[in-house]
Amino acid sequence: MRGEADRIRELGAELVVIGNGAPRYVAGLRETTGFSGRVLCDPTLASYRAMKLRRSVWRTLGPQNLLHSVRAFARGHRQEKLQGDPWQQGGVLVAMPPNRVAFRFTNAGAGGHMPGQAIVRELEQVLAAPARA
Amino acid sequence: MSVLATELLELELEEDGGGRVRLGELLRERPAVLVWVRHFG
Repeated sequence: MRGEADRIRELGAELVVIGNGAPRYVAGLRETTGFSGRVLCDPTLASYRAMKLRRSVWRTLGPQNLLHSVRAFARGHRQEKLQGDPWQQGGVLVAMPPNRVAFRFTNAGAGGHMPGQAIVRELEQVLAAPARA
Repeated sequence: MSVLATELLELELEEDGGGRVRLGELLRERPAVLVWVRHFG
């Protein structure tokens, strides 16, 4: 994540992480990922709803996610105590000032997140595209 | 490009340092990548 965060900064954009846990849990995220940028907390899930991000037990526990869980476990990842809403899925927004949506991605389920390198590629493409009114 | 929902721009969220940030202010000045994570831990 650190490499992608550095690249996003080099491109003149800000990377903002939004989570649904309380602020006291952010230290753990920073420790795990090394991310030193802006982290916002949304325990009410208001921004998730505004982004129309999925929230579903099935998408979290369904059979499509079993493979993701097994792979993650095999790579040594262990789920610690959950710090947020377990059923809420995430997503990505690339926004251009002052209020434009340049790219939007909604996680399909647990393990269905967008890789950091793919996010950087989207940002590079958005910034390379000619500006439209 | 479509326009961001007013509902999103008007939201104020808390930073881990204690301050509050209005998303509309955050997105006004420069490009931004917002990543909503499933949970912090």
